[in-house]
Amino acid sequence: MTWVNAVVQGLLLGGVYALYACGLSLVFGVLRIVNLAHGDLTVLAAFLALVVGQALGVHPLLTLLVVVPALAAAGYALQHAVLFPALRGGELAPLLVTFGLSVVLQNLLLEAFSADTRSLPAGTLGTAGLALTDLLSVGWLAVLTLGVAVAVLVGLQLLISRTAIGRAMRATSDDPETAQLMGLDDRKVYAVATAIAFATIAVAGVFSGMRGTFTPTLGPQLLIFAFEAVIIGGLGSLWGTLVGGLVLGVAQTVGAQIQPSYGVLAGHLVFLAVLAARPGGILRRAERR
Amino acid sequence: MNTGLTPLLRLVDVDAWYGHFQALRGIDLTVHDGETVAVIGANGAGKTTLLRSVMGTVTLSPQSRVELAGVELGSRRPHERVREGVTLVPEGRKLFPSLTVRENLEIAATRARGRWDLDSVYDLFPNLPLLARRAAGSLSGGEQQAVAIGRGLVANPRVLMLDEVSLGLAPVVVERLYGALAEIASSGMTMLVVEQDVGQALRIAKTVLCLRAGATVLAAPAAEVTAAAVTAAYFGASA
Repeated sequence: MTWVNAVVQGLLLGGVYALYACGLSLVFGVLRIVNLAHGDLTVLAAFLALVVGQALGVHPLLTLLVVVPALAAAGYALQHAVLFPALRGGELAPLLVTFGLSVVLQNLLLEAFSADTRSLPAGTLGTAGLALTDLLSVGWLAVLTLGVAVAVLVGLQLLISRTAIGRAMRATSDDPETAQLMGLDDRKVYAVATAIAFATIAVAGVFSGMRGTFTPTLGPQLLIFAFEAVIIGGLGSLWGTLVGGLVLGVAQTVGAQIQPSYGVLAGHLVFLAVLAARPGGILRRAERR
Repeated sequence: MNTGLTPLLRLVDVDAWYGHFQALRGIDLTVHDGETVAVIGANGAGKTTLLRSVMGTVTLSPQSRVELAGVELGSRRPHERVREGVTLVPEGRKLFPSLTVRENLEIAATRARGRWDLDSVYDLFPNLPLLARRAAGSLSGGEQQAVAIGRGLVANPRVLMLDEVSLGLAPVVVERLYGALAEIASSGMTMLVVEQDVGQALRIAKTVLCLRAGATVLAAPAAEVTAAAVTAAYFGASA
C-alpha cells in the first residue's frame, strides 16, 4: 500500500509541476522563447498573493482575481515593450533578457520581503483530506491543484485549437513572416500569448504558495521542475506538459519512498532517461493542435 | 502603361537594398484598377524584391515611394499594408503547415469582406472542400498553390500579388492554376504577377514589365510584346 500511496501522492504532486510548466510550454511553443524568469515570476505571483491576501484579509484563492490579471498585464507589457524588440536581435537576446529579469526579480523580492520563508494560508483547505482506505488518503488541496492543472491545460488546448487567437498563435509560431503577410500583427499575437502564459504562472504561484513554502530565491528550482516536466512530456505539447508533470511527480515520490533523500534526484534521473531515450519527449509535438 | 483606368498601385523611383547589395534601381510602375501586370525576368533580376518592396519587407532608399490608391505606404508594417488592401501570395506557397486547409483560408478571411469568401474559393478550386480538414503541410505542390491563391483571395485585396505561381509544378497543374488566375482577372481583380513562365504570364497580363539586374528593361502592353523583344530584354542581347 505504501507504494500505491507513493504513486497517488506523486500524481497529485505532478499536478503542481504541470501547473508550473504550462506557461513555459506555451511561451516556448508559440514564441520559441525559453523564459528563464519563469520560476521567479511564479514566486512573484505567490508574494503578490500574500500581499493582496493580507491587505484585503481574503483567502489566497480569492487573490487570484487580482494576481491573474496583474500578471497577464505584466506579461503583455513585457512582451510588447522588451521581448519583442529583443527578438530582432536573434534567439539569444530574449534568453538574456529573461535571465536578466530573473536576477532583477530575485533581488527585488529579497529587498522587499527578506529571505524569510513564507506560505499562503490555505486554512482548512490545506489540512482537510479524504481517506480512500485506512492507509491511503489524499489532501483536498492537492486534488484541487491537480484538477486546476488539468482545467488550465484543457482550457489552453481549446483556446489554441478552437479560437481565432489560437489559430493566429499557431500560424505565427509556424512562420512569423508569412503570418504578417496574412494581416496578423505578430507583436500583438506574441503579447497576447505571453499574457495568457503569465496568467497561468499566476495560478501556479498561488497554488504552489498554498501547497508549500516559498522564498525570493526559490525561482530557479521551480524553473528546473517546469523544464523537466515540459521536456519529459514533449516540447511545445500541452498534453505532454501534463504527462511530464505527472511522470516527474511520481518519479520524485517513488524515489523518496526508496530513500527519502532520493526524491528530487529520482526526478532528475527520469528526466535524463527520457531525454536519452526519447529526446522529443513522451508525447511529441504532433498533437499540438 | 496608361489603360485609361484609375492608378491603384504606384511605385516611383524605387531602390531596394539587401545590406550593401542594391536589388532594385529606380523602378517606376503603375498598376491600374482591374489591370493585370506581369513582371518577368531571369533569376536574380529583382522580381521578388519588387513585390517585397510593396509589402514593406525590404529596405528602400528614402526617395522611393510606394502608393496604394494615392496613399503612401511609407513605414507601414506588412500586416498594416494587408489591411490597406495589398496581399501577396508568396513564392513557395508558405502555407502554415500545422493548420488545416480551412484554417489557412480563415486566417486571411477574417480581415475583410467582399467578393471572395471560402465558398467562392471552393467554387474556383473544387477539390479544396475535400481537403479542408487536412493539414496544409500534407498537400501536393499544386494543392498547396491553390490554397495559397485562395488565401490571398479571401483577404479581398485591392491588389493581389502572386510570386512564381508555376514554380516547381507540373505543366498540367500550372495550366489549371493559370486558368483560375484568368478567371480571377476577369472578375475585376487587380493583379501583379511575378512569373518566369513567360507564356503563362502573357496569357493573363495586359501589361508586361521585364527586369534585368534590378532595372526595368522592358515595359509594354502584353499584346504588343514579341518573343524577340522578350528574349532581348531577358538576356540583354539584340534580338
